[in-house]
Amino acid sequence: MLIELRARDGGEFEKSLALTSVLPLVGGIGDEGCWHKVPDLPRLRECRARLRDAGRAFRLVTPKVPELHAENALATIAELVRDDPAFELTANDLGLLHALGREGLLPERVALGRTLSRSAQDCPWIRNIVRDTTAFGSRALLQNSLLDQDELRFLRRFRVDSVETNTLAYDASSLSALRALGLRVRLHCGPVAVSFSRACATARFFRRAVPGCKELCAQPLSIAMGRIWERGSFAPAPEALQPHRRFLLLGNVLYQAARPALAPAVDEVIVSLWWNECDVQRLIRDIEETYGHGNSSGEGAGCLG
Amino acid sequence: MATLRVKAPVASVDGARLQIEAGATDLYVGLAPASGDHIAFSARGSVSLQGQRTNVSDEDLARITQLAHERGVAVELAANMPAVGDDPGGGRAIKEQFLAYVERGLAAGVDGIIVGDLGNLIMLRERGVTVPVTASTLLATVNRFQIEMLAELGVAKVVLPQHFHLREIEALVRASHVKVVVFGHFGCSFYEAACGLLHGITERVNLGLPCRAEWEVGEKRASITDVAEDCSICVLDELMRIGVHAVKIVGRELDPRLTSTVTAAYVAAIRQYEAGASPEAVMAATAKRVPWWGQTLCSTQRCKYFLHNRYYT
Repeated sequence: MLIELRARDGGEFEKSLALTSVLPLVGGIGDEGCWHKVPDLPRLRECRARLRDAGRAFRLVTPKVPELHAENALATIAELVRDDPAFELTANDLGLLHALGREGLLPERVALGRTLSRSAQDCPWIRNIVRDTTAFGSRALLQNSLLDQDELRFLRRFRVDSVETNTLAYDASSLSALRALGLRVRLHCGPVAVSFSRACATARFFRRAVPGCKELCAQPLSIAMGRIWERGSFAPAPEALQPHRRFLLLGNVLYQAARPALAPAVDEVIVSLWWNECDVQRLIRDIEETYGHGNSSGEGAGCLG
Repeated sequence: MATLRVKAPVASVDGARLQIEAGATDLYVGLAPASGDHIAFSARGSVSLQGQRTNVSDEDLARITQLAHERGVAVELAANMPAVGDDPGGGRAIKEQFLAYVERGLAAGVDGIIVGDLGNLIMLRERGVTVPVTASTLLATVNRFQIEMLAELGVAKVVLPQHFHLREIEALVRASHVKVVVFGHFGCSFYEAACGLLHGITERVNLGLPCRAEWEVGEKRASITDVAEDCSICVLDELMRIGVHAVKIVGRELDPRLTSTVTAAYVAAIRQYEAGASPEAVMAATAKRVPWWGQTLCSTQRCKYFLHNRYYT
């Protein structure tokens, strides 16, 4: 069992270095939502060196990369690989992996992030949708999107050996199935990533042009769904939606606050340092307790979140 | 100036007639599930909450393709359900059901298939399906590298997600031999491929469009997550100059009288641009032709591809 401490910027990175665990710690640097929150190359090199000094592996986290940033993203990762390919890339963009593969510049290991590794369970009201399906149909809908041998066979050319996942509230059996296919599963402990956008709702709300908006992402906005919108007008939200109305908006990504969830057998747990409602050092102790000291993996006891 | 095709949504034979009369060059349509399940491979529930059927029968699809082909209009089967994987517990029954769904569409005479799952795309090629394949927005193609990857997998067209700068679209069109389709009218706030605010797939509770809801943000009330853009009439000339293949009108679940009105507006606008009209003239003509256009779109600034670029990451 490993714990990834994921940081976007200087403050979070320094905080991560001060945290300790009896389990091996990995330093994740970057962001799953916005390229502007991935540090530049000099800073990434510095983080990598400091993590090495701290005895921690370096992991670069990248979002979907729109065309505007595509060459820059490719060049940045390529330089890091030329420095030393012995690092991990968490990717949310298949095009970027294709380009790195074409150039022979993939890092040693690649994981697929939460825009590519998804489940209908990411939807807060999924129970309302699957209740009219068969048990088989329900399981098929709820399983991880990468449980597809045609797709996995293709993705292995990109050195994909790991996938991330949100915590799951109803059915974690597909995670075991992914592990049985030889993939390592990394569980995000904390807010569930629900939806990703290229257009930043936070920047737009505060009328701050990207990328001059980064300070708005220092902490997430708490928002609650009030009225629904249908065909041009607003109406009261239905009663069934009430338990699911609270979300966190961090830049261009919509999250739900951590829910009571299953603690399936996984290989790693990821903690994002932006989740500032959380006492991270205490959370690390909870993870140690749930998954056991020194175990490489195992069924978790109780729930996380 | 190259022309621009208009790809229109269809969910019934009457809807297809309306779209063909409106001047659509392409139709896209989903088939009802064979088994009577509510959730279809067309990425839509069989019936919307408002009672609108969103998928057609095999007989109706055959009729739709016949009507379309009589007028030189192409028809694509929506087979774009994402995350169509292996069976829980192993097995390929779901994949075989998907293949059977595609074969039903081919038997009805469709000209192409829209696919939203990478595994399905690969499977169709390996199983010898050679009809042109369009990569749905559900494959989230946001850069030239992914277009290149999809082209190597045999894709003929790519539908880009929402929220692109025009210069990005131009770069993508120039960088590839694959035809590029963009959203013309209506759209989502989030990447369709990465959005868990599921709706329009058989839920029994009315969620509306969740991304456009009104939220409590501290003391304020705001549609904070509504970053959707709905209209591209004013930039169709740019899309034509760039060489975009088609604009897609969203709305299989909507009233076909509404969506065919939208189609007709886009067809008329394209003809005006071909004749050299300015965006201002086209806007004025559109507002005159469709009185609600200005009120619901222009005055609320739901403009695609140029107005809100400063908020794109």
